[in-house]
Amino acid sequence: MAAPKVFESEYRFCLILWKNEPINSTKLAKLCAEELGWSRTTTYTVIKRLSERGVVKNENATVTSLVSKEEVQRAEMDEMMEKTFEGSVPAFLTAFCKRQALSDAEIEQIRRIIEK
Amino acid sequence: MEAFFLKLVNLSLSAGWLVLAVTVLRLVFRKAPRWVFCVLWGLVALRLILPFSIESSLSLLPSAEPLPQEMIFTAQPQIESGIAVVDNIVNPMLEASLTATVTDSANPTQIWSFVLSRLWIIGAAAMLLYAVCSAIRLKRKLATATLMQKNIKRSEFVSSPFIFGIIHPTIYLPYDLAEEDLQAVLAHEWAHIARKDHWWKLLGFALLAVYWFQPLMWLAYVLFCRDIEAACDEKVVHELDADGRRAYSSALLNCSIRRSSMAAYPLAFGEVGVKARIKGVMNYKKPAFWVTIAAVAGCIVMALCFLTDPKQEEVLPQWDCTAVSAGASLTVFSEEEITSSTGVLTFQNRNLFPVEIELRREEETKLIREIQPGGVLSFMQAEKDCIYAVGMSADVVNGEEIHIMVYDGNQAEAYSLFSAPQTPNTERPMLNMDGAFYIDPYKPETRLPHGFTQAGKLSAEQAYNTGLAGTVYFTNPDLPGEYYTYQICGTAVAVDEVDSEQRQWGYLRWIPAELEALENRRLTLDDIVFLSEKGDELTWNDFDGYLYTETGFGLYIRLYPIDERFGLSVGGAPGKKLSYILLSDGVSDDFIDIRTEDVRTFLK
Repeated sequence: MAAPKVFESEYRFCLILWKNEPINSTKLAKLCAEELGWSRTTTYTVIKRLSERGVVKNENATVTSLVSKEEVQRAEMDEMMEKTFEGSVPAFLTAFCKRQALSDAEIEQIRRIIEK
Repeated sequence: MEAFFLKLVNLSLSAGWLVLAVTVLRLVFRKAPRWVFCVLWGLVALRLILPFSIESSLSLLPSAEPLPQEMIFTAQPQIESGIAVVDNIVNPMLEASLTATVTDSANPTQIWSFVLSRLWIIGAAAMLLYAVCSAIRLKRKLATATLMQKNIKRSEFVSSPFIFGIIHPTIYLPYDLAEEDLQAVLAHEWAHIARKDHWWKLLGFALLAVYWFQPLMWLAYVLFCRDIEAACDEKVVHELDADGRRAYSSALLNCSIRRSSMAAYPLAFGEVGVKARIKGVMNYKKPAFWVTIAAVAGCIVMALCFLTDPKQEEVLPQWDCTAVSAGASLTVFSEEEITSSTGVLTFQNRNLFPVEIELRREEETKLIREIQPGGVLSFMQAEKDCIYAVGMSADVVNGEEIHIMVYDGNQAEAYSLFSAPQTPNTERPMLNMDGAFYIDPYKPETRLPHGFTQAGKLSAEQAYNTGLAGTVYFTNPDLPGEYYTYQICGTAVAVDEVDSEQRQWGYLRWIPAELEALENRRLTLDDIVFLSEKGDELTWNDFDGYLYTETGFGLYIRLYPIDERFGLSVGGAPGKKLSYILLSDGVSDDFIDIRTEDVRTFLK
């Protein structure tokens, strides 16, 4: 199941949410103001937008996420694979390995994530 | 608003010269530090903002007011661009197309200035509206930008780094900005903030919105934006070594995505003109001290030459010398003290008779000469700054006043000092056409009689003492000895009443002076309009004093000619009620009874 698209700024919001959920929307707005520099109106708008997209849920002023961090990360990677590597896993791996020296265990971990 | 718009046009013309000069300097002094040109653009802004200016002989501007304020109000607009060639080309064109003609109800220049000034304000409002809307849209998009450091934010909608915010400028970066470019970008944007560029660019755009009609302003704005960026580059690179410069240049390259350089906001890092900027960065050398001094001096010179107005011609003094005649061949002196600053004194005989003038200085007679009526005499050997007295004698009755106008300088310049028609209190305004004198005894008319066509403009001699030099006049080949002028005059409010306080543009009829106040004068269309308002009350008495030919026997049938096209026939029993009063149109063969039908609609 393809996770919904999340913009970069919204992703950072989600990071805060994942770390603190479930959380009262007012408290969440305060956290966003501190860490992201967002006004309260902006935070509420984003909560509304993301709940319309099915990424978060806002019930009785409590915000919880509907999508997990792994799901979003996977969706990002899928998109990157399609766009940048034209869907070729070997191409991606080569590029990735060139950047970092990986241990066998790490390579195995990655393979598992991709094939999940 | 028309006058305000005219002032703006004049300012934009003056600023245009400065823009051209700065553009040339930019091409010539490519190696000069960029902040100099930013200052010069500041001078352009100053010129556009300040409504006043001081006069200086160093001014390189051709004219302080190329489009004179009077242009809107006269029937014959002229420009004073200060460049003879331009004046000689444009003024005849203006005469041909904008001179008010017979069929116009409003001065064409007034129509044009109304239309153009309204167009201008619509254009300016549109530009400002566009800027405000773009700013609002951008602000909304940047709402979700995440904080990186104080006053630095990142957003997915940013393609290349820029600054947004007037009071609290914030740097906006894209998320995918490479680490190695970050320092360079921040240094550049901080330099912008330190130089207050976010304010200057906004001011520049505001001025562009106001002066959008001047194409040179757009050029200035584009070059100004480029110079701001280059000046920031210089400020940053000033501190960097060769490695630093390389890093900076590669950052410039990485961030160079196409951006519209027309946006007032924001101040972007990678823009059109990147190649030139990278070249500038790599070739940058710290300018020597003398270069800075020379640059400052250059700015001062430019300010003096282009922000000041050229000195106006001084108005030379003139004297109206009057003396009361004590009899023929007795010289009487005026009380005026004449001094010449130019060394030339010009005398003008404003009387209907020849006058012999005598110029004296300290009891010594310097000149005795006779001047014909309306004639002019120039005395070239006047000593400067000495007091002269003017005496005059003429073959006139005792007690009659003699007027001699004395001018410092040449007559030709003195005549152009007349602007609005003036009437000297003691003399009747007279035109001197073909050697004979003409007066205007009748009411001003709103319509030119048919059959009259434009014959030219009154020369200074023809205008005589009326101040109407340059006024358009009309003749009718079938009516020699009659002239019409189109000028500012009073308004006729009834058949025999003129309100001199209510000024308007109208036609004045001039007849030979010896025919003053003829017994019978020709009926005019304006008269018909007034008369028709009386309707059935009209009697034969109302038609007394007008020229007519009698055609009836027993019954009166009088034909009153009006002009080549219209005529009035009045018929009825003598002493009794009028049977008919018909206004007929010779071209359409149509007629109406002015008592019952609307004259104005018939005349259209």
